[in-house]
Amino acid sequence: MDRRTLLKTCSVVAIEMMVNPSLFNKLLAQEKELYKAYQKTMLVKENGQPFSTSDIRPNTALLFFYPYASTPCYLINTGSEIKPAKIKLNIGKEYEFKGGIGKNKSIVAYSAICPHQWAYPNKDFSLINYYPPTEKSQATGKSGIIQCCAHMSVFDINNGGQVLEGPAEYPLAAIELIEENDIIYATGVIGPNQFGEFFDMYKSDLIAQYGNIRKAKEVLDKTIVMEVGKYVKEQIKC
Amino acid sequence: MKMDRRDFLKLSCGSVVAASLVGGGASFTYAKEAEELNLPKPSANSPRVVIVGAGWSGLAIAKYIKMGNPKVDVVLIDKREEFFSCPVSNLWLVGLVDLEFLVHDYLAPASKYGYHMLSGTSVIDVDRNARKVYTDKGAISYDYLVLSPGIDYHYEAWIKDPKDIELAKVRYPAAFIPGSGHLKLKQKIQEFEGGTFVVTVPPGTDFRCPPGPYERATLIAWYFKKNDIKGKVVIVDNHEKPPVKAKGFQYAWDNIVKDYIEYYPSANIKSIDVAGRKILTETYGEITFDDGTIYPVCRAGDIVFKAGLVKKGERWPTIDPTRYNAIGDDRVYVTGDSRNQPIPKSGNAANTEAKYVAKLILARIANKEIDYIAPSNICYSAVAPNQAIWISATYEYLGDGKFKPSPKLDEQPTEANYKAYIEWAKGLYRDMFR
Repeated sequence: MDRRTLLKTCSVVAIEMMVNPSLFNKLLAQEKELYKAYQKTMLVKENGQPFSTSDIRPNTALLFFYPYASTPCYLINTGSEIKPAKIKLNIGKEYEFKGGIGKNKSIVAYSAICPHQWAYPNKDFSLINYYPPTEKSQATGKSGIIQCCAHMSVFDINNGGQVLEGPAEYPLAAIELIEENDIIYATGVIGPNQFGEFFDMYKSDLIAQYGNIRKAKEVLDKTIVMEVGKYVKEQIKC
Repeated sequence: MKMDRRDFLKLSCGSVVAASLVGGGASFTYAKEAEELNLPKPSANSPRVVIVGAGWSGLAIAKYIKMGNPKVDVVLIDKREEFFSCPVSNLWLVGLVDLEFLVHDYLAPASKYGYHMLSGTSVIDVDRNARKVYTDKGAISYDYLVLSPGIDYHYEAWIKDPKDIELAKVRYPAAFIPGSGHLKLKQKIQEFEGGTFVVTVPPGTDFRCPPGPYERATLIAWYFKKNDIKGKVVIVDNHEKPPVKAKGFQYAWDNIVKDYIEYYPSANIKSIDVAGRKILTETYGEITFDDGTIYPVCRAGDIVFKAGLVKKGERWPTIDPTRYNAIGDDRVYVTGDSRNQPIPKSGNAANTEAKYVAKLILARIANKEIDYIAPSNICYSAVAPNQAIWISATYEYLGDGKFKPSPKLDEQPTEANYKAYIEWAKGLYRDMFR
């Protein structure tokens, strides 16, 4: 786009916005939906000490909550490098997945809310789980994936959470991680996140669990990384 | 009574439409007098999609069309005032989930996604030439029409006398179309004192929820066993074994409800003597019963016939197998359990299919076409509390109306599968209602 075209486009957009102020918000939302910066949150161990990249073994998934107190994520060390990738959505939009962090660039994190019909790990059970390379899903025969057994959507953790099979139309949202002085921080969410739907769908459940929706939506400075089994009674795999 | 022009037109519309049920297309000369309902559009030139039937298919199509393009006007019509889920209703029949699990309000999604929800409204006829549907409240013009009315029963295959058909409906309801049949059947199960409780299975696989009658029979048997009722569930089935999850059901019959279930496979039902409580079969002769539920052969919802989409002597419409539109009329679509493709008539298949049909209609509104996306299906069946099995399938279109399924199965009843079953349903309800 040359300068003249850019100026033309800007002025057209500006005029549109004068006529229709909601267009600006709409444009912002469209841009935001594939990347959103949230609170920079330090990942910590259960004893409160900072969580470092050496605190997660290869082929392991751990659970933490981000960006809100009630929105679960999986932190996964695949043991091998996860490269950046360009993710193309079926609505035509694209975004960049940044790949893994840590010494081997093998650590990634994903929102654990299924983008199909929003199953998520709750205290009783989880139908959306990580299957390490050593564990094949009985239903799909796949491993090294996140799979939701509610409706059999399978997500590629080595490739930005893209859908490998099943009815999900969107990838899992990736959590943007950075490493500073060997401490991991979560800083944002990459890809179409499901938080709006999550708070809408589960409002009654969240009020019952957290007392009120405000607490469920609390943004955290620090988030505890824990073994999945410490939070979820039963990981239902299929 | 004083009658103004509006009342007169409404009344005459009602009587003329009633006549049209007998007289067919000729009645449109009069029905055209029906007043167009005043339903505001997002803008004057918004195309309108009218959807008849707010079940698993219609609800999802309405939502995903509005999500895809809010400028499209969507009118969803259903004769019911609330949604009552047929999937999972077998669990409710024996007290494993409550009614609130199955019943949902139509208002929340209509409000959230911005479509017109005409509940409590019956569609009486369709004029495809004029692109209008006629309801008991007035006429509605459409640019695109989706018929997703679900199934109707075709008792005539087994019961000839209309009086006996009526008797079967009220005494031994099929209860695969949610409503009074379900309420009546639950009461029957609870009040059963002993003897034989029959469950019939329609032949073929073109009936709503192919594993449904077997799940129902198994759960009723479990209920009898739990409550020490000296009764047996008798399954009378033309299939040589359940067409899906046969091993899983057989496992349950041998291990969970043994002595409470009796299976009559390959029965070849000839007729049913409703008053005499006898099923005449070719294989076993007469099978008598004390109570039960007669699930007859199914056919497409009535309005699909009225729209002229079903050939004489057939039960399902002739539609494009990958585009769902009537042959030669890309403004009219048939989806959900009324379609004729060899895809299971199930809620999950209707839901996945609906997302494709919504995209297809949006594309066609924009004068575009999209690639075909075949539906997929997951179907859980409970065989006892906390015990369920499942089958999932994706489909590949082979051409000429043929599909190749790729099924996966877990036929060992487990508690994990049961939890997944409940979450499966909750996910689909969330998709439709939240």
